[in-house]
Amino acid sequence: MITYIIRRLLLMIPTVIGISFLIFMLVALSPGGVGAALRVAGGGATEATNRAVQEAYLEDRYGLDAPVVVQYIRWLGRISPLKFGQRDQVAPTGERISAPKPLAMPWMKEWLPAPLPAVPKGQRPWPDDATAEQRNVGYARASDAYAQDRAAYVAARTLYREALGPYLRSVGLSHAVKGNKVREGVLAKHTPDRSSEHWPAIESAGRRMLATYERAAGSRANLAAAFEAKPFPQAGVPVIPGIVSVAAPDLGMSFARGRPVSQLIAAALPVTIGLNLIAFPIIYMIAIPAGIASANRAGSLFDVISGTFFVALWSIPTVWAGVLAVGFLANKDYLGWFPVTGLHDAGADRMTYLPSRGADGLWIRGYLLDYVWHVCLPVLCLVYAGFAVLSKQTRAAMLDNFNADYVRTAKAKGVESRVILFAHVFRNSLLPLITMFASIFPAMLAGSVVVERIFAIPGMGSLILEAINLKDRELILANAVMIAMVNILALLLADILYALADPRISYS
Amino acid sequence: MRNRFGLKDLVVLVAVLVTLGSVWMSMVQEDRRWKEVDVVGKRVQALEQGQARLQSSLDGASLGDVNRRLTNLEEKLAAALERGVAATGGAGTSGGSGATAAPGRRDESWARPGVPIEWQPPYGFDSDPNKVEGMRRGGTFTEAFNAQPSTIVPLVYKDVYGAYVFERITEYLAEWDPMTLKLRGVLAAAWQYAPDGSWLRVRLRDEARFSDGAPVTADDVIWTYKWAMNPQVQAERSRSLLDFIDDITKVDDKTVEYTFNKVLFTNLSAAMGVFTILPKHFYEKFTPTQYNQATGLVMGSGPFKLAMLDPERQWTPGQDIRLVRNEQYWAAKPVYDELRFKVIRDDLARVTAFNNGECDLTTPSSSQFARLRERPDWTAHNDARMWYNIRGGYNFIGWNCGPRNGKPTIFVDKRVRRAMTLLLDRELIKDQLFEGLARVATGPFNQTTAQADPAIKPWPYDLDGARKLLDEAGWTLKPGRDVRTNERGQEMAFEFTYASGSEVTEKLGKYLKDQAAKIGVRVSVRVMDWSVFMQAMDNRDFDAMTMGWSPSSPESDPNQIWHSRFIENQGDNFVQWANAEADRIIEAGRRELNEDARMKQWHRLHAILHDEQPYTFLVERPWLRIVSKRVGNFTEYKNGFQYDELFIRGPGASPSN
Repeated sequence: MITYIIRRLLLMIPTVIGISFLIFMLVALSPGGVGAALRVAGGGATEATNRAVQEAYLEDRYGLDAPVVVQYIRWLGRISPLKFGQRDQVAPTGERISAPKPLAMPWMKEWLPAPLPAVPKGQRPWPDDATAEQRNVGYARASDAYAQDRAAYVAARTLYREALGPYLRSVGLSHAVKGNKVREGVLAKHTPDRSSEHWPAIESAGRRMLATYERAAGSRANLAAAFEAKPFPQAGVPVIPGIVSVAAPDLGMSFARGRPVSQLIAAALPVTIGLNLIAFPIIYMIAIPAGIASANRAGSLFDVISGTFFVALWSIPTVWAGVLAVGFLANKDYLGWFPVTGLHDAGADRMTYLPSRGADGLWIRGYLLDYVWHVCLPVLCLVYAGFAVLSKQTRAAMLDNFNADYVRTAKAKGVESRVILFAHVFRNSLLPLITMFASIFPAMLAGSVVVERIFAIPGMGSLILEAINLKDRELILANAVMIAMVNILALLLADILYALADPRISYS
Repeated sequence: MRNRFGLKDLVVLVAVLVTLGSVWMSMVQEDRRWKEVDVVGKRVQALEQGQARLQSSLDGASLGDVNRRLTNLEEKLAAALERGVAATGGAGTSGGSGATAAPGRRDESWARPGVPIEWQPPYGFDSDPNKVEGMRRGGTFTEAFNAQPSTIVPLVYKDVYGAYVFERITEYLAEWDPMTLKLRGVLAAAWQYAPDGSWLRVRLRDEARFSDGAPVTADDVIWTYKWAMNPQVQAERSRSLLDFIDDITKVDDKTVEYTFNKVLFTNLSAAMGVFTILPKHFYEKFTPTQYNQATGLVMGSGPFKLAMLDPERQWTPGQDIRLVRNEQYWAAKPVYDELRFKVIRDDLARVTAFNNGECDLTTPSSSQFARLRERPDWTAHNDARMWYNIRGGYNFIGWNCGPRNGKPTIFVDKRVRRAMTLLLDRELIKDQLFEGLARVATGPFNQTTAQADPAIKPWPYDLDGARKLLDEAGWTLKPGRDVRTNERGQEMAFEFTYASGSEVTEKLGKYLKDQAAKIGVRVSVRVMDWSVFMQAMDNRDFDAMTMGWSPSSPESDPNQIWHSRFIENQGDNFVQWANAEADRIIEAGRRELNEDARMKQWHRLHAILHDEQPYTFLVERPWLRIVSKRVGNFTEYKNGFQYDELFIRGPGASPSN
């Protein structure tokens, strides 16, 4: 059993890698691409040159200028708990600091007016006996300087690319600049015509690019030296010192919202789980007894009516049901029993947990009741469609067993029918229910897009939907990987429960 | 039998888990309440400090009066402060006192000699709630947004809703006067603008201070600018709008000087209206990363402040945004206590929440608006407001006037473009597609502003005129055929591209197709996802498209949409319209600092665009808002409405059900 579980867990790794690779590529290669979504999110009412530079900044920040496969490998490295190479450090503010990012090379070295400057040796910006405070300030200063110089270089590099445009068009090579990249392979075969009228612009842009490159390389060396002096405690635990370490996975930053993905998920997940923790027991507590009862009296009026009723509920689209619920149950022109949206009242933060009497003798509903009152309609929309499948499954499994030989034997022995029903038939009908149970967990995490939208609930459903709309790659990937892992784990759990429920099953 | 895990055990287990979970949740809630109490405590402390600072900062002349009042009302601390400040800081309403009142005594030592100083009138209400009958103090005003702002932090905000929130808490140096649409000083008491437009000196108001009582100084302005320009701060959007500024230097504690690297008419308004002034002493504590990731870290000098400003427990998307009146506000203070923003994305749920009294103001969809305002039982308790202002944009159909994939489109000829405009009954489009809640646009400039030439009237709906123009352009209808052809036998057909997601554009596509068929033009429709659509615009890979522009200021800069320079490099002139005269007018207009002369240029540009029709300007959209009658003093302005002028009537006046 144990080896089986370990084997399954190990199998998870390639599965997750496969899933994430597929999604990564889908997002990266989708028309419009990640960069386009970033620009849309930023709202683009700026001059074209500014916009190119602005895009270059964004691409530089999120590493979108690298080839897609490199981006994917970087992403894997970040979410993998096993880290290779230099360990991250944790600043006093709790920020995780990685080694400074490398600089991209200037475009077309051969065309530049001067050779590339040698990268100077970095200077650590504090003395040997520096205090923690001095190191902190020194590191912050070095990191500021590098950010400034790097930004200037990224801008100059973009402007150089733009400066190439008129010249390349004049010599019929405009395909050599594609999007934000200069295809150096194409240009290598071309001997530049330095007497062209467009050449001075290229030369001055090149000079600026070189100068900013030199400064950025210098401050990068300084920052690297500062980083290597380890001003802050290191993150994670070393496995092989200096080569492999274990640290918490980093889910990255949401492009569209500029916040760590882990924070976003941590805010949305409890909301969705809370809703589902109420919804699923309701489904189970109604559907399973109903299934048992209708199997016990198959063909009776109850069986027919409950079956029809559940299937009828199951056929109602949630969008419509939600709108009806808001329109009639929440609208004060009609019944107005429930609040329209949200999870809490405005003043819920100041309420006591349980209902109580306030200082003025008035009844205060309390935080718990307030929550329950607010989730009534969303939970209603979540549960009503769930009865049909579960009760039909229970009924079918029970009926199978009712007709089995051992039940006839038990009946013949004179065993009480209640005992037959629960101890024999129900227990043996558990397997399909367990399968159903395993599919619940991923559904719990994914949330319901429709319900969350109608009732303005900030859960996982709306988070994922918005991530997809904005092509927020890190957020999509994190969610997909999380849901994939929970799915796999739930299937594993189901398999283990099979073995517990049915002694005939063993995995050894 | 073995000891199995039975039903009874399950029940016990669940009961234990529920109890434990419940205990834990109650602890969390108690913790939350405890922190609320803590916040109240901190607020009282801040008020006490503020009072001390206020006393020490007032000069001898006015000190006696305020001091007496303050000591008299020491017990009612908050109320006392409110009145004390209204007497000194609320100069806008009472005609003013102190340094800004008498022009003769104005301190001009900060100014450069020889350049006229533009003193700004005292800042206050445009429509004073205190003078409205039935005004009541206190209460909460709630607005429901229809999209979720992901952060409300200045500079790094992502959407207009974020801006609506932080503009209540922080202030610009200057803003557009809501009635005249001229620039007026908010934090700026006066400015000097170099006659050649190369520098700008701004004097801050003496009385301006942040919500913690600290004065607004030149250091704050410079720090905010430097912070916005720091590449580690994710303020790309503001940064790209600030590239005309060379530097901002400090002249004295209350004066800064801008130097510009290019002379444009937008410099003056952008210099004072792109970023709100942030308190250096508050924000200095945070690293750029902390600032970038902040969701509710807003502090400033505005009439409101966050109900809870705790870097450890910030507002996060999903919660209601709670602002309270800034009791320390230096100008006219709002009369109600709390301003609240909630987010309800679903149209039906939002309007239901409004009808239930859960919010006082919201934006309905056009169809909801049209339906609600017809209901007498609804209008008895609520108002449906529709007005044109500078923030409502226009919708258009753009015709690709340049090559698509190397081949010129049929719209290269301006007669064809004009025929397309004549083909569309825009009054009908307005009435049927926009529920009558729009007006026909004449050009790219908002008709509310002086930028638009009022003499230009929209082209009429004229099918025969359209046919004649197409005949002239060489697209003729041969007998027995239903599609026009030119002399080379090419059929007259084009593709209409739009982004998915809007019912209105979908209907527009069908209408265009029907109308075009009437005069023998074949239209096919291409629908795309928004980001793919933007890519098609960038690559100029379309024949005709539709979209909307929304302006950000009363005088929009036509440069980036109409200048032929922006055909290259994926600029915003995606219809590839090039007109040498328009280019000249745009360049001259942008450099022209005299407003009247500049308006003449814009009117000329308007006329050219009207003649050329690179776009068919469809409609201008107004603002639609539904407002509860509980809200008093709601005034429609040319730039929207003013939150700080409202008041909330007593509960008795609210809808009875």
